[in-house]
Amino acid sequence: MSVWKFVPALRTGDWRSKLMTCSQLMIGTAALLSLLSMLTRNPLLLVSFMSVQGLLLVGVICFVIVALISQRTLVTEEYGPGDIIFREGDPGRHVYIVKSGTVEVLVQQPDGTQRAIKQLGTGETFGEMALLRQAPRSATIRTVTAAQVFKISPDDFLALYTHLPRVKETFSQIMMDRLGELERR
Amino acid sequence: MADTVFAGSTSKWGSWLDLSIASTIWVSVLILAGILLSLILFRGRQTERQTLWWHLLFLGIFPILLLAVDNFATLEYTKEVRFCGSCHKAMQSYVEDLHNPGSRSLAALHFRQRAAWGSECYACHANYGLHGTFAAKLTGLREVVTYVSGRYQLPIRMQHAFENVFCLKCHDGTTHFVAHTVHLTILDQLRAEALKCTFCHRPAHVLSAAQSTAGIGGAS
Repeated sequence: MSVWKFVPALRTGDWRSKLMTCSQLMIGTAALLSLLSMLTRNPLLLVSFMSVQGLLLVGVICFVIVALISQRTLVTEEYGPGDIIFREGDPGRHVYIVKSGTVEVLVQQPDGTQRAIKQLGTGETFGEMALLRQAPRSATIRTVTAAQVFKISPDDFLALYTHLPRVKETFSQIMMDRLGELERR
Repeated sequence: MADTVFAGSTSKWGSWLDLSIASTIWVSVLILAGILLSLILFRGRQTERQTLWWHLLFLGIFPILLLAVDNFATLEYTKEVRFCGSCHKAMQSYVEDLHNPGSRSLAALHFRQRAAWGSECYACHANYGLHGTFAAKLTGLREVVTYVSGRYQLPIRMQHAFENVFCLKCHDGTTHFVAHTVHLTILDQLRAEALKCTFCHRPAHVLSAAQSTAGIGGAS
């Protein structure tokens, strides 16, 4: 099985996701070595941990960089066909714009199955309802083809929404339409 | 000897060394579990603000904690007799001498009196303070590499003559030491290494006849 299955961000994520994954790999390696050295008290493992403990510091620094800037800038994420971007009921608040490819909007039926109610292409947005209604995700978004999406932080989106009347008007209309679609499902 | 006594002293939950080893294990497990859960629970959205608190704990606070407790545990554990005995073939015979109740060696005598509470090797072979600790760890690191790479020859010989300062750091000025007036007479010579403590007080270690004939161990 490919390593990408376990750490998909290394393949699909933007550089922030990759940095976060690198941070996890470095800290995880050091923690594993630390655990083994303390359980076995093997001199070689003890020395090995002392040698690689710099990984812990570099890992923490990588995380701090991600934590400081991930909320401030536009992120591009890449997904393969059939990948789930987020699920209905998830607590996410980011807003997405399709950069390339196609995604579909899935809603859960009373019998538990999921039905595709709409497909979104380049330039179309999704994810704004959860943020504006301060509610969990109202639908699942799954890619149909390989897709790239812009991921906008809640703070950035709200700044655009509150300061630019036309943006507010556009997204209010989109939200009304989508609420109508969801009610008709 | 204050630094070595610290490792052997006890807290409410056992010795500080045991406590730091247990803490290291638990913190390591928590970090690994946190990372694994993050990969499962936050797949594809690990940089979102809601997940940052989780990651702050497992990628920020716990790793710094691990750095502190693991270094303390490793540095203290490598002062222990059991650590010294775990590596060198030659050291095994010295450790056996320590545990021999009939041995008249200086090392066994110090061990029986619990002079340094489990870290007798370190207490007598490392100097005081940060410099002493650093020099001892550097030597230890070199010896581990030599041991692992197999680039050593038996019998193992001491690289330097045993220095009086290792004895004097504890004994100089003590009631027992000054009670023997000869010590005061030759104190300057002892401090200048012109006379060796081990000239009168010997042997430092006693090896069995079998170990001696096998050529194991070079220092005695």
